[in-house]
Amino acid sequence: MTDQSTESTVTLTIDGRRVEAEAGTSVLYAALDAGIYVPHLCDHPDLPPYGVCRLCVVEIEGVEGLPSSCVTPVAEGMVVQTQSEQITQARRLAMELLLAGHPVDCGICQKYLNCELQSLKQYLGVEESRVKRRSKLLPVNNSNPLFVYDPNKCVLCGRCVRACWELRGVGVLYYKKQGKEFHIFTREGASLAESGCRFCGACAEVCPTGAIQDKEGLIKGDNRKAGLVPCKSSCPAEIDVPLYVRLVKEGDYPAAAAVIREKVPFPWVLGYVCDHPCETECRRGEVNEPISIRELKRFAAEHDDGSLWRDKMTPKDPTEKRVAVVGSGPAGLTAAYYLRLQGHDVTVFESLPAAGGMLRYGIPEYRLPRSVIDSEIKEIEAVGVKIETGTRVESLDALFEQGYEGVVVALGTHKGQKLRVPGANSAGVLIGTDFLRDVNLGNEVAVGKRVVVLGGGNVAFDCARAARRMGAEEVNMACLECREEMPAGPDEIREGEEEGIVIKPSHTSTRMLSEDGRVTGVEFLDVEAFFFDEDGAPQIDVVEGSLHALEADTVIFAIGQRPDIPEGFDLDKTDGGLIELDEFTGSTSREGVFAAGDAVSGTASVIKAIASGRKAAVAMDKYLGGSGRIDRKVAPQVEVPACLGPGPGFAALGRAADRCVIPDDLTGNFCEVVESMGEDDAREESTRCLQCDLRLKIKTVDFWGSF
Amino acid sequence: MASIPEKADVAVVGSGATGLAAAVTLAEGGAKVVVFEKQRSLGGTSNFFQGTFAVESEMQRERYVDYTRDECFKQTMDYSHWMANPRVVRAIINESAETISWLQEQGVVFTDAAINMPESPLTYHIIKGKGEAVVKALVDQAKAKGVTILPGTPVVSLLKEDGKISGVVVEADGEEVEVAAKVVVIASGGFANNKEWIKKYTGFELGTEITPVGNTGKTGDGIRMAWEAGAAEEGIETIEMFRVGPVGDEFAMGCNLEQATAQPDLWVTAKGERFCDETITFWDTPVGNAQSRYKKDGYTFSIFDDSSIQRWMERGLDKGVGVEFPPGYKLTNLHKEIQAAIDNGSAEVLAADSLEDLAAQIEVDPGVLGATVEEYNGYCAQGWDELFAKDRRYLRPLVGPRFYAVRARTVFLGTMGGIRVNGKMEVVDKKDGVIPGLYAGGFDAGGMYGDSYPIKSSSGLASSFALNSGRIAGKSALRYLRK
Repeated sequence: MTDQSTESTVTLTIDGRRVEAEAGTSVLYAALDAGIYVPHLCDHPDLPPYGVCRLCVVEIEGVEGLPSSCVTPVAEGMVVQTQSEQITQARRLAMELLLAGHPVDCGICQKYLNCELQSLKQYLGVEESRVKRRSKLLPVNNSNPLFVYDPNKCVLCGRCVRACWELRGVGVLYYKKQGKEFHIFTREGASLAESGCRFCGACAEVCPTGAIQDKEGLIKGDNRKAGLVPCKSSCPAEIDVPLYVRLVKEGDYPAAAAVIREKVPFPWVLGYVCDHPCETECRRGEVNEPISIRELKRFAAEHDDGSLWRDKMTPKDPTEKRVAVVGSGPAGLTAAYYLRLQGHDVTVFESLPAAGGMLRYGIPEYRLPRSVIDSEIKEIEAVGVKIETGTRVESLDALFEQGYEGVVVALGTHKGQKLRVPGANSAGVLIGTDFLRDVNLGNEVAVGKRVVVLGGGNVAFDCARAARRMGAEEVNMACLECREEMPAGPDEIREGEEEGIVIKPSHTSTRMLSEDGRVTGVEFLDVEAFFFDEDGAPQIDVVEGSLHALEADTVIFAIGQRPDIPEGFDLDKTDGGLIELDEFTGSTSREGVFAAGDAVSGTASVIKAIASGRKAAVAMDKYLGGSGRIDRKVAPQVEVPACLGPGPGFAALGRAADRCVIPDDLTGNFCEVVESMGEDDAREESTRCLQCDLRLKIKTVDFWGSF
Repeated sequence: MASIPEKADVAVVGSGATGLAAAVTLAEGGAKVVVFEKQRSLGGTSNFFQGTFAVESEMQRERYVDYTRDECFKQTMDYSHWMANPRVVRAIINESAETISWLQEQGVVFTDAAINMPESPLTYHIIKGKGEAVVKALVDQAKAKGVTILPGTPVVSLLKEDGKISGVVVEADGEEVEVAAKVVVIASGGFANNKEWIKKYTGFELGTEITPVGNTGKTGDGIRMAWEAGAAEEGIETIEMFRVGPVGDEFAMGCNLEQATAQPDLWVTAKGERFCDETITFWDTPVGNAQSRYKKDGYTFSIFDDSSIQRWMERGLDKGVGVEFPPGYKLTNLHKEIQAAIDNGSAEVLAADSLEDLAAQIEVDPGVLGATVEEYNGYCAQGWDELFAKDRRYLRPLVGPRFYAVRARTVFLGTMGGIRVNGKMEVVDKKDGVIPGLYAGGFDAGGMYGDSYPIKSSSGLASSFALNSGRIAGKSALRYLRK
């Protein structure tokens, strides 16, 4: 062993220091690895050396002139000097040549402080004002999705071309002369999409200046890494989306499911009902259409055998601490699950007959089969979470008296409301949440033939579509918002309309019409504009003389919900009636009481409730003396190849078709309306992913300040 | 390459002029210092300044500049209507001269004590190689004195024990790491890129109504951390504004078009009406303030014609732009730049053969623009600006044959407050009690200014405040550490 290692190791002297390096290493990396800074620009640790910028020049005993250290391999006994007057002169000259064709625009450049050219300029002390510059005055190419190319800022280091060809094997970028200047182009100036670009972003990642940049606005916020993988950073639970999409592509479905399981205990439920902020942010959406991430999640969950995570997601040693969770919706059960895994003894109290909260008593069965909820709750119970259904908690003091040391309040927003308009108390005027609860409990619900639903959100659609299934023949939905601004998701709107629901946007109801105390219709005015004023109060401008009515024998209000917090909880509330949390500690106004879900945020999404449950679990665990580290690595680590290969036609690959199947006769039919994705479709869909996360594996060049 | 130490005497948050001045001062006094910088490159906004303010410096004495500390103090306080913290102002002004000498000892070369505007004292000490040279010199000195500098390592929060600062939490490779330190100097450079805070504290919509220049990734980290640790607020509303055009990727800073736009010819609002005496262009603060009245529009226009261009080519600028382009600098590249902008279809630079056509291109009522120019040309003819009393030397009529318009935006160089400090740069809480071990300076600290940057009495003050507050914080912290 010793012999081998000495054979492949070379000893040389750099700036008087003895340095060891692997044979074949360049002098540049021998120096950098030894902590000796040598300025360099065209070289990049992930790319083959190029040797054009002349910044990394050094002196080597016995060698004529100033060789570029990036293209000079180390040799036994080599004596290298990285600093001398002559070297400094040569480097400054090289820098001045680079700066001559580069605009002085650090002050407004998005790349500033991440720019290698600026850092090198600072290191070498080259003053721009002394450089005789030529202005290229070329137009900035904004025509491609995701990336901007500013030829004015290009210093022809060739990194992007090498990254495109040699690192990724895609091969769409070329050098080309335009007028007197060289630039980076695609073949025949075609668009990136036409050229077979895979939009991997390697070119932008290795660009040392601001010549190739991500479009501003696509990289939101301060955290660049998060901005580059927006599917992951926009997920409230921070699920590693690109990783599980890749695992689906590779056919390793249990591993894909394990990745999701690392962050949430409800992968399958989410596969049905997540409002998928990831898809809104997906960078593929800028190229053509976003990846169908939610369907891939459902696919992964459906093909999960639990083999990779079930053995690892087991409780830690008992802490002897008892925690009560009030409410068994996604927020409460998520908090309970993670607290149980941290070793606490957890009991969930649920006032309704079965666990699941709004998953079970809000969302109708055609959107989320009950077997899916049952199966995921079973996994939560399997780790030892106790669920006491049919038990309403009226006082937190009572829980503390029973020996619970902490309480997580996650009782959702189950209290619907009616508008205070004349006739709102007529028979046949219902509240959405009550209506859905009755439908989901299987209670007798009297729905007339003509139904008007008031509201434009997802709950309103749940009411409207459930009403159709309960026998309504004509369902109108009226909301204040104009069609483009309806809060409901686009697939809800589409599917609802396919089921015959008639949407009446920009409508404000003025009163319920009734006969003998029974509703007969709703009177409306058309809305000219609906907005919020500077104090956040809603404002409605109506169209004069637009009064009209819709006939109805049932009216359902779905205009927002509030939490129903028992007085005995004694918790501080916000003006909106929600539970108030300390921004920094996540605690409520009572010691040992944390809160999560809709009762804190107002009616939101399942994924937000889950994320909030995770946060409450972290805060509670810390409060109970734990580490607050609830994440476990259960998915296998995979090596991802850097090479993608040519991508002709890649940009044009379309999103998997919608698999919505609306039954012909809706009455009494609560069967699911979206079919599972098949294996071929799932593979194809996952192949469309741009793999934005690959880019983060490209090495970062350390600037002089780091040495 | 340096690794994150478990503990140090001092943690400095940010590697700009404030942080580096504090770090070198502390290291000179024997303290073990670590500087955390969240960006990959060092120096932040401090790479840009071309000169820095001082009074009663040796360089000024050699040039018969007789402006005194007392005069400067009075003028700066008057300028702020005594809204500024007088102890902070006095401390900075008094320290400023010594800081010039100190910087020279660190290897910084000053070429002159001058001024780049009329009617102002010569307080501007011009640096060879700009702020970048100051950053390089201070980093080299810091490293030579054993300071650990860690780029790409953001500080996320402060640690406190028994009411005293006990360290920081930093982020490294996605993990949070605690570093124990008895002293923390906050020098993270303000919040110029924090859209939410800019709206909340200044009322501007970042990106459309106002654009930051020379600021990247400034999210107010230091201010937030200090507030979380109980610091009081001061001066959070003040920003350093001026007027620049054209703005956009195609336009380099300091291009001929930018210089033309800054000249005191005819300026009009988005409605086509004059809005100021254009000679306020000589002083950035008033022109920034005048321009910001039209923040809802997001821009104003500079209007000129071929006679203006000819004058700039032959006689050069009236108003210099930065140190590199003094009055008299000739705009030889202007025609080429205008043509390139027009060829590229720019919406920022427009040209026409008539005022009517120009008005159409800039979407202004041609009647309004026509009346404005007619009125203005009338003032030029009579040699008296009845409207805004502009100096007659700059009253030059617009006669064509071609007319040009450049869109000018409100930009700002930084936010100028946030954390309340005393004259020793100690951070104070809401009862004006000192938070032991916590210091702040530069764009993170308030108290140096009133509602505007006092450009007339003390040009170069922002960088000077950074350097001097850093040095004062360093000296105060050494006393606290009993070094």
